Amino acid sequence: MKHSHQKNFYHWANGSVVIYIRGNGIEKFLNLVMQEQIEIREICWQNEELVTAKVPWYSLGKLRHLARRSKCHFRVYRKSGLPLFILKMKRRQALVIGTFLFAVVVYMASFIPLQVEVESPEPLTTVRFEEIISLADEKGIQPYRSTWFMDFHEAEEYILRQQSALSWVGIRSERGKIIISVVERKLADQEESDLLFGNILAEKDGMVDHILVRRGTAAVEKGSTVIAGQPLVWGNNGQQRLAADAIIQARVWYQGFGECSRIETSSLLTGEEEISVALRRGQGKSLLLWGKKEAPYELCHEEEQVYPLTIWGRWQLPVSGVITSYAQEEAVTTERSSEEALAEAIARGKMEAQKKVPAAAEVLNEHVRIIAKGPDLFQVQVTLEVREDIGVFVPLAPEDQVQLELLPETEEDGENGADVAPVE
Amino acid sequence: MDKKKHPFSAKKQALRRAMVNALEIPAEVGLDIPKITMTGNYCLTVENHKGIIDYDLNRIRIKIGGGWVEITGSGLMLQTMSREELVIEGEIKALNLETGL
Repeated sequence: MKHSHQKNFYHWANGSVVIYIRGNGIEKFLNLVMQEQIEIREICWQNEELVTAKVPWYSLGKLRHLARRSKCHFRVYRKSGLPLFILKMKRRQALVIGTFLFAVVVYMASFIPLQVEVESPEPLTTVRFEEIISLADEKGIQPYRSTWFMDFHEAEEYILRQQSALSWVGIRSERGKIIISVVERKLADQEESDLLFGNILAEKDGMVDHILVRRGTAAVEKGSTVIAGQPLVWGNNGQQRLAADAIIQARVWYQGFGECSRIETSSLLTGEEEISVALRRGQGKSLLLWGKKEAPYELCHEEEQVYPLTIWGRWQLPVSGVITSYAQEEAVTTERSSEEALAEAIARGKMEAQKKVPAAAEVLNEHVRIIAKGPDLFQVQVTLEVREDIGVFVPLAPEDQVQLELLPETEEDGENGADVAPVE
Repeated sequence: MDKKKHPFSAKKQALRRAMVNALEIPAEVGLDIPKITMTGNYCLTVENHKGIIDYDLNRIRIKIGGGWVEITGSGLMLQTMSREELVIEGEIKALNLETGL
């Protein structure tokens, strides 16, 4: 029962026959078969003197002796399985050869393309599909010709050489077709024209610490104090409008507030958790399916997750599944000394300030200002000084382009030209 | 003749059971008794049997150590028959165990 598939395969591989057993001593015959360890199965009573059963094909010889001993006789009704199929095929060799040849012909035919197609991710502007097909044809990429005689790699190189407007060619055989994929080359001046014009502005307040202008004109210098939104690099070089590109690092300050009492009560999770499952219609009533309706603990953290229910992911049902988890908490009172409370307040303040600091920023200094140093409550303000990139590229709208030309020229504009060396 | 042997065989059986319990041998192996497993009312497996006594569509009698098992039902078929086990399928209605143990 457990391995019925393996058993079925085993029986099929060994070959089995259905036999009709007749006679008065059928039970004796079955017992003798069993004693001889012949696997007999699907024994089915038909009438007083007839029983059908399945036995392995190779055991037929032994069964004759056993039938004689039990005064029964049997007749083979049907044969099935691999050995019998092979025997049958040996007698019908023409059928086997015909089937084999048919398979070979189908296999060979799968290598013969019926047409040649050209595809491109974007419409071609300078090359026509017919030209590419013609070039491929010269290298033997033709319909009704086996792909065994085609050299795709050579044809790809040939088409690329002949058509300089193409940047890539790929040929593949797919579902009875030869598909030539091509990508048209983009011209350099076309790429330049795609660039946006724009300035680099300050993303946040700070003091410029380092400035390296790759393209454009610097509007600030090292040591300048800038505010958020202030232009840092103009997207022009006097004569030409362009997309400003620069690295601008500034010192930025972040503040965090921390407080801590000497005696604090907080809640801690105990690890005990209860879950309830309910169905909810919109924002209305809930039907509890499992679990508790109310929070089972006096002090607990409650979390609700709503899952919209759908049929096969397509049709949304008017009800949603709601899983509510109640995590038990217990109140914990912590007593600290004055030093410990102050240190904890500083740590909290620092953590709050650090949350605001970007990951790539480098912390240079930190400053702690004690706001309250009472006997019970300690309050501090932590200031972190960091160095970070504050420049952000802002493309100009077309109408702003005119205004850009009217901007006053700075000293660097006249001297440096397009790409300005680092100001630092 | 069997009746005369009975008191001794009962003692022998009790002794064998004690030994099987002490040695923690599976009972069907140590005591030569059948293990009958039934799945719903459509499949019954008899392990450690001694062969079949009677078989027809509504009743099968199987020889076991010290007696026989009678299965009655309808459309009964011997799905598998080997020296180790015997699997019966069909609609099983009753199971009658006749044993001298």
